[in-house]
Amino acid sequence: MAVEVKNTAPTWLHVAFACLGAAFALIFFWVLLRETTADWRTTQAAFRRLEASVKNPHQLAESARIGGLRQIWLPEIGRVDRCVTCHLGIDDPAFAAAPLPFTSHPGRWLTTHPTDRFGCTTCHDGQGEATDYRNAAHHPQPNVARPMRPTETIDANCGVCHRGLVPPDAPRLAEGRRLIADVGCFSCHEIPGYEGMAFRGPSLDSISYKVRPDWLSGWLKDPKSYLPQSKMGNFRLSSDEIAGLQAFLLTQRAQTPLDSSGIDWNKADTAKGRGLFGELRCVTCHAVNGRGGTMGPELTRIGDKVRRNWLFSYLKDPHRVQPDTPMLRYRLSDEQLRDLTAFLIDEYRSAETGAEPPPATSGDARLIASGQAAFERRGCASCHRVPGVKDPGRIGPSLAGVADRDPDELPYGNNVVRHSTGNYIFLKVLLPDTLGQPSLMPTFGYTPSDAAKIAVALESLRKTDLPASYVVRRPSPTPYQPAGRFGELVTRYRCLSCHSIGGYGGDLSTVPLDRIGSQLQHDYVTTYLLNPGAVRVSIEARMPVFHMLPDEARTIADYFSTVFLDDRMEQYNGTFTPAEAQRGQDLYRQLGCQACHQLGLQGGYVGPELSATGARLKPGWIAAWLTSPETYKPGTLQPDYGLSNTDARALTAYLSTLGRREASAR
Amino acid sequence: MRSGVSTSVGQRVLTWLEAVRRSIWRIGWPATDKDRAAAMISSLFLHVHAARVSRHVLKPTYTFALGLIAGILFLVLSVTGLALMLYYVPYPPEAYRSMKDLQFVVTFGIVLRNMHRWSAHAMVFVVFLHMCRVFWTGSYKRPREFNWVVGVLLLLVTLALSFTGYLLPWDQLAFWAITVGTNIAAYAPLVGDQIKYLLLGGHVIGPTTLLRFYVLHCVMLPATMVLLISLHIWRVRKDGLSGGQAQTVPVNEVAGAFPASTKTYGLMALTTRPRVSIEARDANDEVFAWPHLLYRELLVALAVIVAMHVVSLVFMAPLEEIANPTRTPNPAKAPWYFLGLQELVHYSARIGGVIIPTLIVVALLALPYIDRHPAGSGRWFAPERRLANIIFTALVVIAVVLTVIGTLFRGPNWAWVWPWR
Amino acid sequence: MTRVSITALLALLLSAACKKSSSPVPGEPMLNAIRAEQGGIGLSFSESQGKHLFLQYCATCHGDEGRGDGQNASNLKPPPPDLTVSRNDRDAASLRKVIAEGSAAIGRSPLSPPRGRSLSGEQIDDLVAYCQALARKKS
Repeated sequence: MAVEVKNTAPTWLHVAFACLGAAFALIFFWVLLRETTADWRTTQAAFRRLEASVKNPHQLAESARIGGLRQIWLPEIGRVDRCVTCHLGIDDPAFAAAPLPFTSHPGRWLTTHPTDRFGCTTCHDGQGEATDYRNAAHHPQPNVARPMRPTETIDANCGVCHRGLVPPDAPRLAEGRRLIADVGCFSCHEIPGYEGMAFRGPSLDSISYKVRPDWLSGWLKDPKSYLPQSKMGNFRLSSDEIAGLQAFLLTQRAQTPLDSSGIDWNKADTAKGRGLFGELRCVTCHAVNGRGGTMGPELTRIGDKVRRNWLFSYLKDPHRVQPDTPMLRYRLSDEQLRDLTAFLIDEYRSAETGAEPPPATSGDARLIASGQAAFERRGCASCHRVPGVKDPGRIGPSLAGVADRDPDELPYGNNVVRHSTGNYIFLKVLLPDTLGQPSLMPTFGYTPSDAAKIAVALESLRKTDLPASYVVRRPSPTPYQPAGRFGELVTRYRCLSCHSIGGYGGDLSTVPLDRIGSQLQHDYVTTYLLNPGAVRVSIEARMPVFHMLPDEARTIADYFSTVFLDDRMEQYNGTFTPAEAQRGQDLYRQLGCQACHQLGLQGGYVGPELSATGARLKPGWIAAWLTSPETYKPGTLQPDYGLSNTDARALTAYLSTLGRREASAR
Repeated sequence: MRSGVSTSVGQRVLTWLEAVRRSIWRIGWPATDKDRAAAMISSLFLHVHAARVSRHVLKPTYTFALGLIAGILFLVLSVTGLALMLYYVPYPPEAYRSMKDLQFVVTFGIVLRNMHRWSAHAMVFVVFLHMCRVFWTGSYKRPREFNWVVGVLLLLVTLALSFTGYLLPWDQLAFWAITVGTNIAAYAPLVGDQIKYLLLGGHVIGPTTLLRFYVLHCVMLPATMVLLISLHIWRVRKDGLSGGQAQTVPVNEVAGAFPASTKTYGLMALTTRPRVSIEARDANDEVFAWPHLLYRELLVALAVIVAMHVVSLVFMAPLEEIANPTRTPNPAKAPWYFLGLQELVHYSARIGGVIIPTLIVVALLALPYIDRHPAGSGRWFAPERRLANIIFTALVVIAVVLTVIGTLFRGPNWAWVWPWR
Repeated sequence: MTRVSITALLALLLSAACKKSSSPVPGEPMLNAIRAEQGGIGLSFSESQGKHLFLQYCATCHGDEGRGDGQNASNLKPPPPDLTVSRNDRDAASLRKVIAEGSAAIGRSPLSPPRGRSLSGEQIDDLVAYCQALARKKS
């Protein structure tokens, strides 16, 4: 009845099954193969073979256990780093000579930053969760926000935890942060770590009295044409803006210069002025013709810039004109000031500069208004105070978290560069107006390496939620502001521009004054302040001749001897026997001190000359210094000879005899 | 059994094994057609099929086995999904971390995850094709109206499953796709904001959203799916597969009488007892499910699994950077099956995003009760149904075109871009 | 037939999305600037650390490049030697001895002071490495 249907599956079905089954089996075994030959497995196998050649029983025992994924899990900072799956010898010095990736970590970084607290990606970036070379982002990978950092810019990651201005062992970061502090980027941009720092360019409230108009327009056009070290960038102003700004600024006459009507400029003696210039050691802070210090502006063409009366007024009392200037106030007579002013104006000018034009009395009101508008628009008031212009705040975008911006959404202009925040910041700092968008940011004329260092410093600005235990805060030295007569003198002579006390102050002098009273003898200080000589032959910076009054010098010396003391040094027994002095002299020759120190006319230029040590230094200090120089000045060239107390005493005895005869004869 | 000679140990073991086997499988491995048919109807899993099926069921060019493929994909998704659940943590930063762990640490983790994702996309696509097939063959007509409704519900549940699963990786793609999707939902009048609040578990996408979507994706929606699939297949059995040559038109129901069955009970074909069913069924038209249907289904299953493996091994499922609420990708795109919707929303939020989709869904659900004409069912593009086919095809083409536009031709700020530039 | 054409159209559209254009290799200006400044390469990490130490502690007498032409060299009798000339008796052990204990420890003048107490062992290792690198550069 029922038609016989063939009730076996047709052949093609069986064939199809067989093929698909075979395909499935192939796939399965291929996946299995891929798992067993995974990158990290083969690497670990290579490591086990390597272990045999490292003849350390401890290592061999350890190596037998190497197998499987390894990771460093740091929930506090939200990281899982599996780098150690392949980098097996990373924290074992025995592997210093092993081939990559088993080499131990170079340098001493793992001693200070052990992997079990910091992992790997904290410093190196990269995708720590990955277990193969490519996905670990050793090179830029799509969808990995932070590929591994090249060692050239790794300082940037140091800066995420080390917030101080001078982080140790991170030279590019330190230099970058210093450059930022130097130029004052924080005046226009909010930058974490620079809160509370104020950058002030010179006040412009009397600029009309101060500068020549033609100089002003040249300066606005390009500051570096006058002053190569200028901190002010080139704002790329149009000639209309320059004309307006010039007109506006030349109306600023808030503060009249000091009265110099009694000065007869015809009697000015530029030769004496030259002598004064040398005596006052102006080049310690102001370079001329490329040589000198950088604390103040270069004076090579000061004659092109300033008006004579203003310069006279300024030299007479700089603090009246610029209350926060680091420049000190010499004690000079009007004639001396006249000579000095005339010398500076005559000597340091260009050939084509003519006579001083009279000050402008009025100007085009519309031009002045447009100048004021330009002044406000370009944010000049962020750095230069001008009465009547309100503080614009920070006209640039905040740089908090700048390193976390999406690299693909940053403008790179026509530059074909890898999209990264580092490259963007670098290009922006180097050439702000070449990134395809008009920019208000001035061109600072950095060298590429400086721009790169600034970029490194800014790349450390990340939005992170670091636990407090990881952050190394910026040490903020408490401002030192002495009071009383001593305080007045410190303020007038601006000691803290070059010297530091308690970490606060300048670093032009390498001698902090914290214990100066126990280092220098009182009389020597008094004499020195009245006539600072050369103590170190090889150093160009010199303490200026202040033309201080004798009782001013005495006040300072008294203060030193009473306040800036180190009790241990004070308690040193300073009476020596001749035998000790003789032994000291022998030691002096034996140890080779003459390699660096001058005695009389012989010896080296490295350290201070020692002929007058007996009159200059106190024995307590000499002994302390010789015993352990690194304590008082880390990184000093003075070697630590490991002297016993007896030997240190002998040397002290000898040195205390030097020059004492002159002192006792006085 | 020969007496007097002791049976060997081996034979006794075999006998014991045979007893164990028989306790599990009550019937031995079927050797004859009758045994096979008996196995079909007495097995827990196999009795989803009848013992005998109409021959046209075997024809691949009728259904293309789309429904079966969708079911198989659901199975694949369930298995891979369960395995993934062992590793996945539904809390925001850990969620992303578990994705990375799957990629780098878990053995076969990459394959597992890829399988799950590509199967999900495939399932949405296959379900859509299945719906098109059912329409174009007119298989929603009486008596299969309700099955069509269940099918539409299944489509919605599939989309919901895919959408809820889309968020789970917690990367930029997931986060912003769901942002777009829930924002479209918020355009609904009156209840839009409440819907969005319900979906997000708050006002922003955060840990509550993730947990909510996780529970929906792993428990609530799969349970609904299983229920609906069971119902769907049950109705297929009861209504019979459409398109047979002997397309039986059901007899008008007598009031109070139970609807007549269109199936025989399989063994009846072999016995000589008189038939029980009312309708005449042509035995020449039918074949045994085992081996014909069963083997073909197993082949399709194997083919689907092999194909999904190949796809999973060749194409990596995307995983972008971790979700960052402060960084919006431009453009932020919904999952591909909602891109047509997003394109519509671009033209008009309310009409495009709410009214049109609602109308479409309502129209789909009501379709079999609107189009009551019974002619043309069971054949592809039957000429009697030309108008219906044209309308539906036009809508399908529009939907596809809109989706393609949204995928390829829309760039930042949803501006038109040419994909080859 | 219509089914085939629809799928073909879809496939065509999808393939259009996969075109890739060739682009020039993107530059690394920041890295290049830093590398240019570092100038002469060829120093390992240890050697470059040693170079920093050398410039700080030794260059005043020995010169920035170790040729014995530092600013203080003219004051020294005997003058410092030219370290860029490689010599047999300048192996790592004797270099370490000179640096740590002074030139007097190897029988020369006491003019090169001991640094053993100012520098850590690793720092001295770095200096030794750099000194050897100096001699190596010449040859």
